[in-house]
Amino acid sequence: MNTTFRLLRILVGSLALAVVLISAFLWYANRTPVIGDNFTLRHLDSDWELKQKAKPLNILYVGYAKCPDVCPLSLSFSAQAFRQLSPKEQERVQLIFISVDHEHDTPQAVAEYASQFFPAFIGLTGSKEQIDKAIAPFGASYMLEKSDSYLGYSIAHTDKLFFLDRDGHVLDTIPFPRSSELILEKIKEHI
Amino acid sequence: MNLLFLALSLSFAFASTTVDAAATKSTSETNKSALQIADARVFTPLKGSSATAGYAKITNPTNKDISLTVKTAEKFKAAELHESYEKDGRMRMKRVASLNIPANSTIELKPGGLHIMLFDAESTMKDGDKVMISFLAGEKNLSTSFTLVPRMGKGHKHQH
Repeated sequence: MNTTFRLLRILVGSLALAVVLISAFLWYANRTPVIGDNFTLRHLDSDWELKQKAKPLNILYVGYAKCPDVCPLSLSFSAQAFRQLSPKEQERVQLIFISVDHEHDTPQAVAEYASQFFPAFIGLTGSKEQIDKAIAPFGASYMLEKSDSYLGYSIAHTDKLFFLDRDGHVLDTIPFPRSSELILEKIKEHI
Repeated sequence: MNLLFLALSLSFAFASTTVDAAATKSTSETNKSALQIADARVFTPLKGSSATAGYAKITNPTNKDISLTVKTAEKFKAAELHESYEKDGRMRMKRVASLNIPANSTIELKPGGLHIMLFDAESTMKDGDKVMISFLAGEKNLSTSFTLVPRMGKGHKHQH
């Protein structure tokens, strides 16, 4: 009797342990991976760290200041969305434009460029190493391509808005942002 | 009868001259390109960037395809035709040497696609300024005035 009871206890305990282990495994396998991270780049003459300057919502866009078409298009739609926010809402969100053109875009030029779309837009850049380290956690990328144009080059780049929390973790994205209404909707959802 | 004949002759001569003049005018008009460029605009250059873009609707009302090449833009050091496109998850840009405008059709240069890329403005420009852009359309020269419009302005709604 005692043996039977003991065996039963061992069996139940094993089953319980198995359930816990399987549950933990399933949770681990199905958890949403954390994308994004804190980063530091140059803003004007100073270092700019996301965690120090973060707002409740931070929108990241990667491009370059000499991009004539796609970058100003995405930034313009973003600015249009920002203009539709209330002053209180505007205090809780910022857009960060990172120029990956480390050879030609200075921190001063990028900061001035970004602010013309909307005063609160932050323009950052840095060395190649700083830029690569900053954008890698987001899966963003770029590639400089030589060309026969007057400029001599163009830069292929990720065209996506990343919506980040205070730690730089990605909450949401909009690939190829071409609608201020969608951008506004996402801002209000995550603000 | 002779007066009638004279009147008819004079009338005929006058009419012929008018037709000839009309023919001459239309001939000189055909020396210019038949392409029609509408909604021609350039985004006013922003500080911090040496490049901007121009857009327009180009209509070919003829029965023959016409090849369009961007040549120059006044007040800019260079002007070229480019096209934005997506490949492997990245937006890219390629230079377009010439653009075929098919017969009886309209091609639109618009944001996110075909555009005229303008480099290095030679002076400070403001909204409302005009920029003459020169093209080669087939074998004919074509110049069109583009209006500078703001990227973002107070109350401006960005239309694409």
